[in-house]
Amino acid sequence: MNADIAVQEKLLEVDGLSATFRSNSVRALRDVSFRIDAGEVVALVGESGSGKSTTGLAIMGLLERGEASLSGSIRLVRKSGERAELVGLAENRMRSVRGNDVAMIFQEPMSSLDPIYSVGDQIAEAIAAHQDLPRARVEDEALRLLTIMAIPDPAKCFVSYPHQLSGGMRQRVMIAMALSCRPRLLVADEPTTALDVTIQAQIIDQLGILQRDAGMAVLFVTHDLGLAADLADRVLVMYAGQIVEAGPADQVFSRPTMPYTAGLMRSRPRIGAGRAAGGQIQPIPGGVPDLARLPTGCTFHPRCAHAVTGRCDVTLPALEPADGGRAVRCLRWREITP
Amino acid sequence: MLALVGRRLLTVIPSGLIVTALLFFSVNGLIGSPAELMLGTDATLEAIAELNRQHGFDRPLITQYLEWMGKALTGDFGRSFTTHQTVAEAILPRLPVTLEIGIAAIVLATFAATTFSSVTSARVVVRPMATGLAIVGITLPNFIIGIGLIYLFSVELGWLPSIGWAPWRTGIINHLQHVLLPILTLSAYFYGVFTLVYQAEYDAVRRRLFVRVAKAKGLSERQVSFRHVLPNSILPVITYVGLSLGQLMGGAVVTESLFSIPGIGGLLVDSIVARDYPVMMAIGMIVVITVVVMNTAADIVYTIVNPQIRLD
Repeated sequence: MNADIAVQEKLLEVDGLSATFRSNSVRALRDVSFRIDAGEVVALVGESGSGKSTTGLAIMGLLERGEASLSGSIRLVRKSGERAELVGLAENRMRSVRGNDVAMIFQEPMSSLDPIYSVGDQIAEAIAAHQDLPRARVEDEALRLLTIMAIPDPAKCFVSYPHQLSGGMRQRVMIAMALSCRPRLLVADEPTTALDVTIQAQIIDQLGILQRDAGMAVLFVTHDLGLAADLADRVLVMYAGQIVEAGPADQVFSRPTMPYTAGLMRSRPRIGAGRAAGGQIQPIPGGVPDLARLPTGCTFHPRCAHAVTGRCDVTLPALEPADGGRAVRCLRWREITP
Repeated sequence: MLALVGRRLLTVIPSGLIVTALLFFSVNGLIGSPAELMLGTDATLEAIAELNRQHGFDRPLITQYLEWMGKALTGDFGRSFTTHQTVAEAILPRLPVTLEIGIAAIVLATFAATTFSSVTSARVVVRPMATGLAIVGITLPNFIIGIGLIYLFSVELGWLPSIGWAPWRTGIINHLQHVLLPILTLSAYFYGVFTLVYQAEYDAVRRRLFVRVAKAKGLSERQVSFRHVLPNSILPVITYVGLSLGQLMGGAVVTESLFSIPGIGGLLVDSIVARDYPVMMAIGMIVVITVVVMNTAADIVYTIVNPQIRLD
């Protein structure tokens, strides 16, 4: 979307990030590294349980200390220009980052809003959390945000309670809330998965417009490769807590290098590619491995058609640079890439 | 909603009938007529029979009960057998005393239970203390807690008077000094129950997505806890407040006699011992009415706390 931005300004740099849940010692993230530039849309794709949402929560500092331990580094350039290390940042400073420098929207709009406060109050609360404005200004601002989100009757929506709104409306409210402090990075965790397709398209459209207008970077977490291809400048593919392929969206989707990415592409239903055209859906056999009992070697090898015994089940591949400005985690990518 | 409140209040009629009938038949059927008690153990059979005839105690119980009920419906609750005051004269001066310590105890218990268990700073210390206190409140009988408080605050520290009652007109400070220990004593059990109920709900609500969203806005732990988790966790506590009136009466009986407070609780005990059923049943009716009113009030509070709940 922002190919015209010549100077790439680094906004977020995640380096060697690992997360271990304390309750079951599961390593949900293993050595995750990527960067997001200012104004860039990065899609984070993968199956459920691959660590996509955990990555988003880690950036927001929303993995509670008692819940998960983090190691590695998440560096963010704040609005002030200050470069902050978010891993291990004191809670009171993290609080001034959340909702202010980085905002997040979640998968289930139906349960994202507090049922006992009006929509207006909840947006106003987000504004007042970071901006010292008189109450009347805060309310004007909340109303303006609802208008931007193309909500039909903003004044009525303002005084409505969440249960009076549809899922699509609630997700619009969530986006309005997330944008309230003009964050430089928005973490969107499957924001349209729970919505009807038509509503999904409207919301994605709006999000795209807002993103361009505000020059905001977006980390778009999704399992929908079509959406990722439409929206993203770059793609990160996650599998079992690791990034297995990363690169420019057009490159990755037109010529996937890692067998897992190729598998994801083939397991996607497409209109017009029916049986007659020979474009059948080819699901990846098996399921996402149990993170507590990961296979040895490449974590994908038990499901991979290209796996070679004695090699793929022994050596854990590193994320190495491949052609077209991407990186891939596969021992055999040179041999199997057509 | 008005119609619903009306319907709820009508349940006073069947509940009132059942409670007064149970009180009347169990006490009269099990222990005997009031006349024996009024005249003492050395009274002659003739004297007892005479008194029974005078008061109509010799008629079938069902007749006596229906007669009482008929008069009660017209507002006439009769006279006390022991003091010969009208029931209203016996009860009305004592009612505010019990209402005051009862309401204060419930309010204090609700406030303490929800506040202590919502504290987020120093949570590792406060939470186990809140739970420990709750267990103490539930397991220790009222009178032991009362005696413990008297020992600590009156005997050892000498801060508060041990027993006795000082009406408001003797001075606000003096009054508060006298009601503090009874209120603490009476609230201990309710604090315990409310705390356990509240903590279970609080922990469940904390895991809901909107709490994570509230944190994602950049709110502090305290703001998240008190603005979003607490109001969403308080509904079961309100239900328990509505249901706890029965136990409150039981607690009031013990607390009032321990602290020598002239309330309804003490009167109820005296009236049961004396088979003084006009007083006894009037108190029964008061409890029934309060329970029904409180439960209806709890339902109304629901709709205020949570706009999703509609009464219809």
